[in-house]
Amino acid sequence: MIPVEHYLAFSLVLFVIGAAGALMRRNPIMILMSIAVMLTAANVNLIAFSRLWGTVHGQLFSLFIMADAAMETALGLGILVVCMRSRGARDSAESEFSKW
Amino acid sequence: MAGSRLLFDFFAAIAAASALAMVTRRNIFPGAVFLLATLLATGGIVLQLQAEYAFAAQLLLFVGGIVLLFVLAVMLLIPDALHQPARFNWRMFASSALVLVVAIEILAFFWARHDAMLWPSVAAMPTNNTGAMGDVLFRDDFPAFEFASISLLATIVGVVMLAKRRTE
Amino acid sequence: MLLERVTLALKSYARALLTENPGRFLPGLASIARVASGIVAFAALWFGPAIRLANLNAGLIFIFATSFLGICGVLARDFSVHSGSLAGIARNAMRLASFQVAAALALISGVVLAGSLSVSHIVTAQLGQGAWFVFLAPLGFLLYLASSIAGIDSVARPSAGRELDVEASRAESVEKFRWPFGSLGTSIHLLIGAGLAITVFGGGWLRPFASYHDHFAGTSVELLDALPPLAMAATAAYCFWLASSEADSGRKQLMNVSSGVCAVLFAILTGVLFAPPAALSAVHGAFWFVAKMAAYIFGFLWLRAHMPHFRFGRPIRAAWNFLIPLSAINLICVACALVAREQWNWSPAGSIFLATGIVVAIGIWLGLRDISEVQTYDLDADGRQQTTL
Repeated sequence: MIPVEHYLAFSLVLFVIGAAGALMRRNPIMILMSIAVMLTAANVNLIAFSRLWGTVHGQLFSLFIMADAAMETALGLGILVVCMRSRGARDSAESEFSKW
Repeated sequence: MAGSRLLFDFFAAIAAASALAMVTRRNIFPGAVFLLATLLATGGIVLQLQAEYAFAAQLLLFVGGIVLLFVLAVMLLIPDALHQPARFNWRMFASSALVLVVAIEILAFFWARHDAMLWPSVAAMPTNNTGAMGDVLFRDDFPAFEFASISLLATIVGVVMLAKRRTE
Repeated sequence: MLLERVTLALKSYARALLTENPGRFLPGLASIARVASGIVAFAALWFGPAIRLANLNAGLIFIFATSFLGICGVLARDFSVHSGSLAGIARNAMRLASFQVAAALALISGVVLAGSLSVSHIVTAQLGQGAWFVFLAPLGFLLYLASSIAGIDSVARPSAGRELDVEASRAESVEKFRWPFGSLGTSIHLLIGAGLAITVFGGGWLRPFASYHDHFAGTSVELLDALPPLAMAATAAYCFWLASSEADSGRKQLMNVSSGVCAVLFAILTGVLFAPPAALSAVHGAFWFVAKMAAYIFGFLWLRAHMPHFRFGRPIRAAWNFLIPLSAINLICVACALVAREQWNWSPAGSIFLATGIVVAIGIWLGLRDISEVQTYDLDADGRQQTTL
């Protein structure tokens, strides 16, 4: 039986990596991906605790987090597409993303 | 059981390595592939926690939805978003170092207070996972379900309106 | 636990990409991804009452989710082969995803009748209700069939070629025989789709008329259980007869070998008839499952070869304007029929006919509404990105 702390430590590691990615990267798509990794880490945390207590509330909440992650990814990418389109689609990468 | 320990180590190592690889890639397309690997490995860990519906939903939503969205976005924005110049912004580097410091503090907290924390013994999970989740979802947390549906609908409509090309 | 080992294999394939230049490994990785996702899905499928790899409580969603992994493989393969027309690749992936959504909705209308997502519970529910779900939710099955036919990816299909390479598709639109499978991944996903359809709609491993027990005189062998051995014997005899009239020695050998295999199967199936019921139901269950899958695949390929190209202009528009609303309305009507059957005590036939009638009427209305904007071929070389919805 794997103690719960190991799952918590794993979710912490994943969260830290995602947070570092979200802070370090300047490309908005990379930032969105790192945010998805952070949300996955939160999911693992929730499900580990739900396993500890023997209920399904944690898993249910993780389901809502997944739906929310999908929503925010879709919105973020949609906004990104609109920005790319309005700024002129074929510029170089530097001028586009150095302002974020 | 040693097998489940090995499995957890394997999946955790793959997830952490893929996440690390994802945030350090210069091109986005390998980043998307490593995101896929991270989410799949995390799905394996979720399955090990006997959360079968959450595992299937992770595959369906995260991998089938989010990774697909990312790959499509990466492919459609390739001339603009693929290559990044490799220069470091020291402000961001410092903030990520701060995150690391906080993480090490929390881990040290766990390590030092390990014996003092009394975790209750692990309870047994209900056998019909989907049924139990359905019970909780539709009886106890029903407003949350409704709100999630409405916000999903709002998101879909919003993204479609956002991405519609204005006819000139 | 075995399921985790299979997912482990899938993970090791995803790790193979460790280079900055994805071009070298991408075609192999893409095909591996498609094949692996298809094979992993087989882990949760039940071939018989006890023949399975994993007993997942949410098994149906898992099988369905792995086909989405296949779409990622399709993206990678198209990206490595046709890296020029990115919009066409994206549109192809969107087509696959849209038809998967329609297929999911149609599948759920069958699952609603079972009340569980577990594969074994769905089949035992069909046993308990005395009818396969194809008779209780016929439109669900038809919609699932239609969505699967439109949503399977095959390089040989001209409409996929139209998306990617316009001139070549114009030249190849002449009707000639094509091997219907684009690749191994496509065929495995075809098998998975067939397995899903048979499990949810076709009764899984159940014998036709599974609750009808009529025995041979004096023995405990049931009448309908003699069908599999008879079928195998007939197939063996037919293959042997074909072998004797075959001129080519290679095909003669093939026919002889297949008749031998059928004879062996005949022996197994007959021997199992006198075995304990567990073994009998397991072996015959596997036979019925595979036979039903073969019948479904035959119908699938036949329909796909004979169906006209999509008349609604772009296939994605057909999916989102017609198939998905119809599948959703079918789901609602099947659920209402279920409520009517159980709580208001309507007769099963009456509620099913009413639900089917409503959905057929709405379907006809939807189809007639879109028939005015029929386009047959769109020949504009579409490099620009238009709204693909």
